[in-house]
Amino acid sequence: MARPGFVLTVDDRTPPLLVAEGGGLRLQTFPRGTEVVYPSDTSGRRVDADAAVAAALADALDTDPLAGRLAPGQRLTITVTGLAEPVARGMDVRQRVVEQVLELAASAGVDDVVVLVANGIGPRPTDQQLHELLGERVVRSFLVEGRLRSHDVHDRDQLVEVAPGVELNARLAESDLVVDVSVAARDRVDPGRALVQNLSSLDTQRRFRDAADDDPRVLAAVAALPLVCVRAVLDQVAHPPALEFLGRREWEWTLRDRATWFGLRRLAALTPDQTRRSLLQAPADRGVVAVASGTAAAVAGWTAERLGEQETVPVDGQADVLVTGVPHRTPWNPDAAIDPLLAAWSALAGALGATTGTRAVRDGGVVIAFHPLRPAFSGRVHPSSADFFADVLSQTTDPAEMAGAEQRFADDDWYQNLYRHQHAHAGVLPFQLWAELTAARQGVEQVIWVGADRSAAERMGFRAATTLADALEIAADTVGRSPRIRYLHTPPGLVTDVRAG
Amino acid sequence: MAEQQRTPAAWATSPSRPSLARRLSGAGSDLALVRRARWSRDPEGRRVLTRPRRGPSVLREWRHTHLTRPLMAVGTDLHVVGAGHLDPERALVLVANHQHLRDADLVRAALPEPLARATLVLGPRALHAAARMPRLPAAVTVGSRVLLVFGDGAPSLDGTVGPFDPAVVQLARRRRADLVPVAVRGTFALPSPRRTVGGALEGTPPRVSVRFAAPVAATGGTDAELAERLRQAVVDLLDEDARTWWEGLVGAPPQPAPAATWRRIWAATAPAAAGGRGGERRIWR
Repeated sequence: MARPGFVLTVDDRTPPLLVAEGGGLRLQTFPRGTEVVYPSDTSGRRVDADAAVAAALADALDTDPLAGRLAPGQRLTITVTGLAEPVARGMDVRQRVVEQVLELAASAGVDDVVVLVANGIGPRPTDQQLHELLGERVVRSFLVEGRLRSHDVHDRDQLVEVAPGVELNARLAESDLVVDVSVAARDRVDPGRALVQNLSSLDTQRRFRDAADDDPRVLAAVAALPLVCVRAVLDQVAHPPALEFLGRREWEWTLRDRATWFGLRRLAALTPDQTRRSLLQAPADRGVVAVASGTAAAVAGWTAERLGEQETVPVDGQADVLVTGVPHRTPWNPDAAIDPLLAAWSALAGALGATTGTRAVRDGGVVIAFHPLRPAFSGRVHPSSADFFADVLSQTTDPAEMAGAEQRFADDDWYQNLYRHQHAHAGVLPFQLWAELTAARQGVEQVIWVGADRSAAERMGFRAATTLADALEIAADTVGRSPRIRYLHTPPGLVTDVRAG
Repeated sequence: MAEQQRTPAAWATSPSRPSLARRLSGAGSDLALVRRARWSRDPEGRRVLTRPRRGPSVLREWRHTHLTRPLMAVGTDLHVVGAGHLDPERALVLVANHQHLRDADLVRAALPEPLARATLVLGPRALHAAARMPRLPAAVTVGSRVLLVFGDGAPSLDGTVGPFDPAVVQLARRRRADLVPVAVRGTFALPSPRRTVGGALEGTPPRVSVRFAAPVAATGGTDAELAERLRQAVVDLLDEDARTWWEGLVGAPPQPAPAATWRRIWAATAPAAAGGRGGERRIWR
């Protein structure tokens, strides 16, 4: 059954509440009067995925249905963006969409088809990941002929300049029709902009990183593409089926669920990171809520409306202190632990930035987050993050002063080789994360991490505290001894709609 | 950027990794939290009456994937495609082609754990009885959401897919279940079950493919027409395995079965290699 999000006010009888701290989970007692914002539960709104995809392809927004736009002899490119959304358990909706689009293309007599994975600066997927994402049928049909490929931001032979300062994947530029397949993500990026960003050269991506949504270069690049967007909205299930109780409200936990939580805590204390990750990051049983196709602008508007219905929780006024956890999975750590940079990005750019307009914490307020901030980085997936943490942050935390270092990391042969051939993120990833989290924390007076490595917190310009009470003690110098505290009970994610209060 | 280091505070040091004893000692405080985490009522003062649905068991899934499936598929290299189509909450009738006595075990090994556990295999006589006697389906199939039947009856003598019995459609209609075409390829030439265990470690295990198509509702048309559609869906799945899915969509229709019996058997005993692979990419170069 679907239930909306709501706000719970903590009183003297409220038991401890669940807080996610990256690779672990804790039960935390909150002070009386804390406003706990619970996300909505949309698991009851699932629809038949195949039927929804077929209906969306037959009834496009603001343009002709896809079947009418396909013709023999066309060069068709199917792009898959939004790889930050993890593959669902069972059959992923992107596989369903790609298969149905290919069936339509086959019926229309289209032979020249390329499936292009728009990974941007993210890792180029392995064959196994392609199987999980697109299914055996598509991979076996297209991979060996080179018609299923991923994007390489460094491959000059595959890039072509379509406008001054805008270099895109050559296949995009020469296609008669581009069908973009994606899953709606919380950042609500326009699908056309996401496509252009994730299929452009590294220089173009860096130029567009700070561009506004209505930047004329971005709009012109999207308008020049013969683009049909197909986008699915999924429900809010964030945990694998064996741990689905973690997504429920705490008063619905049974004795068995509480015992499972206790077992998870012991497992986290005694086992390596990889074991914990294999449990927490197992695929979630996410269902499809709605699917739409059409122009980029129409699909963007449709997505904003659907996600707004699903994720928005109204709250009254701004808080003095915003408390948030760090989920076990961010868009940047598939099969990898959450390092301090990702934790900071998740708490600041992710949670703090998830609003309809006004932030959930006032200017001059404090953010308290839970994560150990252990300075351990994945050399396989995030090869440049450790060097960024050790060499760049030791000199400055101002993104404006990092331009020289970012260029060095972009040109580094080692990072380029790992990105191009070893399925790692590009070397400039930590700079992008740092720029986004720095922009998100503008106006926040202090960021305090509970249970964190003091040295790591200090290096990033934050504070560390042992307990929540200690963190509030530190924050008292800024927000007083009786602040208004608000806790975002995530995952699953939510978007706060702050109303005057 | 000036080459100067930021100076961290002297007290900002990293903690050492806690000892095993310290990590174990956290159990006491966690137990106290678990006891306190019991809610007598929800925030609106109501007792929570509904018991949430229990998810699949991690242990059972692990056991099925790492123990049961390898045992049931011993002596073969089992490839499974399309199991994601199957909804474990719906009543299903899996209709497969029959090439070998081991096909039932291999199809059950290919199913996801909750479906494999709930599957009952019906032989030809049980199938006819269940389809024709109105009250028998419930008696025969009680407790089984999923039935596995072989549409063409006994194992094929020449490797081709025979006509499908309309009784499978009658059974699905009586149970209000969906029909799932299942194609089994590569089992025709397997050794008999008695010789399988002894020969399991010899040579390269032959490739066996089990492919599931999307479920078909058992509505519309006569039983014979729907049975023929199911048979054609199974033939298409076999062709999809032998070529590629895309070639099946855009390329020439599959070659009809040869007329001579020895040629049909010859084709069925060939290795069931997957189509479309020009050379599998390997991690070691």
